[in-house]
Amino acid sequence: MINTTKKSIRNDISRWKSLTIDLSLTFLKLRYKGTVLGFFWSFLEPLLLLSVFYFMFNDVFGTKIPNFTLHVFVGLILFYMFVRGTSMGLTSLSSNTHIIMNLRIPKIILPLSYNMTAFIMMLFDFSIFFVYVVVTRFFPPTTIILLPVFMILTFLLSVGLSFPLSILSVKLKDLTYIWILITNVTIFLSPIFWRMDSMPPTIREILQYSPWVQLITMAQDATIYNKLPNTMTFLYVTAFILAVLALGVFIFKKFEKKVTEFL
Amino acid sequence: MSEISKIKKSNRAFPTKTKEILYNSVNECNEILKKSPNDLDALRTKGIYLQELCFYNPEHIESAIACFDRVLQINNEDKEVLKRKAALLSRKETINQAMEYYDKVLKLDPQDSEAWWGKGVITQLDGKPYLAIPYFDKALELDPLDARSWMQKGFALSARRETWDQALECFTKALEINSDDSRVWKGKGDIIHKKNDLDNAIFHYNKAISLDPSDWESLLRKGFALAGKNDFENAIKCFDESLSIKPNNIEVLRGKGNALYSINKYKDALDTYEIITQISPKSSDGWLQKGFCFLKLNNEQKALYNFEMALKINPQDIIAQKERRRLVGERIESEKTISNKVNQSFNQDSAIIVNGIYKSFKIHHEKRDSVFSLLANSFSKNNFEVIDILKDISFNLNRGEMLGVIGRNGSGKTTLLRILSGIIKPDRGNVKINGKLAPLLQLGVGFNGELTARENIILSGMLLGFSKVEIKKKVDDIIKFAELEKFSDTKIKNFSSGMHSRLAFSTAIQIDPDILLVDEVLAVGDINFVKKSYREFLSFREKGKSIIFVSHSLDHIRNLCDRAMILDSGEIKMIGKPDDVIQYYMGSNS
Repeated sequence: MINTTKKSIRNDISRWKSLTIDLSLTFLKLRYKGTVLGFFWSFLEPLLLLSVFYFMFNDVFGTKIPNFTLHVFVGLILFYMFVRGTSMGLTSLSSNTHIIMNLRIPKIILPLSYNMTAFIMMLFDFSIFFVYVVVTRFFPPTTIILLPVFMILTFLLSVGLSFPLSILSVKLKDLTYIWILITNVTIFLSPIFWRMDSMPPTIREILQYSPWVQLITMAQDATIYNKLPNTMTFLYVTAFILAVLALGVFIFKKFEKKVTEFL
Repeated sequence: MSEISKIKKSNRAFPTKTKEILYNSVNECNEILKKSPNDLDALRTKGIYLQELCFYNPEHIESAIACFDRVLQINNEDKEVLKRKAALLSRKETINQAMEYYDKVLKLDPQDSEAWWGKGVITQLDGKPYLAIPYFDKALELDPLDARSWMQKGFALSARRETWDQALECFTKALEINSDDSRVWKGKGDIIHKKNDLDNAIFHYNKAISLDPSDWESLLRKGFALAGKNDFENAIKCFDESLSIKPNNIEVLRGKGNALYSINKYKDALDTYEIITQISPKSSDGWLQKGFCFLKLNNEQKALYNFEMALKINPQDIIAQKERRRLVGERIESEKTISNKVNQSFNQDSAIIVNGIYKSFKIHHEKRDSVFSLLANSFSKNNFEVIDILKDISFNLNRGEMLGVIGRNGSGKTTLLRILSGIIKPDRGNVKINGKLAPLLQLGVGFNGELTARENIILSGMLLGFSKVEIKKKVDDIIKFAELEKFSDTKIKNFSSGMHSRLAFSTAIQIDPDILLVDEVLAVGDINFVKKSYREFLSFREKGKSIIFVSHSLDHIRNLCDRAMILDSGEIKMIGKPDDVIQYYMGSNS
């Protein structure tokens, strides 16, 4: 519809790329603006959480899982990335109607940049890991270099789900609350406070098909237990996430035209 | 039927005697006056009889007025005569003079309901039915049994949709007092007709016709009502009767033609329309309808001729344009060559070509905007209406031209701009844009209260299409232009609304496109700033940018634009020179 040459298309793409990065940084900035501690919150939040878990599981309850604090920590940062990404992505269109209705920017930028915000927040969360290493003199195994791969996979899963959710929530206003409910249940279905190994065999049989459980388990194994992921499992999880992402993009592209009519 | 002729008729005093008796009486008075030329009674009676004679022969107005003048020379406090003279003057359309005479009467006796009534009628004649209502109210306060005032108030209230119910009450009151007045029955019928209660309306028209068999207007209305009920045979009978009273009335002819067309009697309809085009060759409607008849009779050549005639009279007639294009396209050119032609002309001098854009929205009767309501009602049908926002809009914007768009709220202006910007996709039709286009639909898009002015400029600028480097270079200029140097690092949630809009405008005006779409964003801040932004806007024009400018400020349209366009309920009503368009717009709105 709009007359454009090849050069200007390339210009546009680089412009949209930098806009996406800039938007995600702005959203990050806005998240802590107006609070007393400001940016320190992003460190304080996971630090407090980690300390609570450390004292609770080592001193109060006691546990058989070695390095349980770290086990919980790795599970939690991935889980929070997923929850923040999807819940911010879900409202990304409905809370930015003025931008959608008045500017000519690709709508897909919005859910994408909110997820990038969530990703950056996860990186802040992860920095606490180094505090843990120093305090407990824990020496991380070499397989930890695989952790970024699992972080990116989590990010892609969250993005893939955010696309259709963001469009649906324009039409269905109560989706936000339903999604909070769903994520609250998910935390107990994720291997954060438990391990696959400690489950009865019948349940393990079912759980191994869950890409989400497998993803977190693989990340924990790589970060703490020096265990490389099973190739088949890894391919299965990756294929699943890429399929979700492709479907998400497809649905978004198909229905984004309708968004302007619901608003 | 025009409102004025309706009022004029009601203003006419019905004669109490026949023509011959009146002539005789006038002659008797003349006899008396020969003997004693200053006999007041005789003068008065002569004037009154002459006035009544005017009903048969309007030439007597002058002599009647002369008679009354002489009476008034002798006794200028004769209320009856003053009123009658005023009534005569109002018939001559010397409204101000008539008003003076009623005022004189009211000075003598403020309790005279008839004078109040007269003032109301004159105001109505002047085309201001709403201002007339207080006069009728006053008259009715003094004399609640005055059927004429009830009727006139009813007519005044009929002018607007919101007061139809009140008008109905007035007519009902008038009929309670005097049920023999055909005009009241007709007025009441008209409103019922407008409210689409056709049977009831026909009943009222019948009443009016039985009271006054020469009432062709009621016959016409009855015909329309019958046609509305799809009873075309009887409708045609009514139109014929009406024509026998008032031959060659265009409105009746048009009604008859449409009715004939509806029952597929195209030849007869054609004859009827033929008469219309003969009587008033300037009526594009007649030509258009003839064109359609020829189409039905499979005579495309003649149909084309008629559509072209209609276009000659009214070049903006979209239906005629469409039909003509269709016929021409069928016969001479294939679609492809047309689009090639469009492309050629496009590359030369057009910035935007809009071709037959159509857009509608679905409005659901029941709002299902939550998961819960979606599940709860998943088995019931959700009915919806389709509302046309834009109906086949076509125009083009020349390079370097500034086109103003005016129109009431909800006429589709913003939707049009959004379609041109590519924010909304049209259902049909296409838009061609030559050059970089920037929409400026709202100020301060992407502004966030928690960010400082500087940060907001960068964010908003990037959303508007700058790269980060570009906008960072401009930040200081923007802050300077907005006169906010002291507040560049203040969070804008602490800004006043004026500061906010100044910042927003200054940021937005930095964009440097080839084509700019602007929706009501000029005129923010104080007078100095408005002047400054006006100048900035003019510089866009001088740089030869193409601009589409939506505004409610007719002054801006007149001073800035090369062409203007009226959008009314999704259609282009007119497009042309700003002065002409504004004149038309003011005329259609008053």
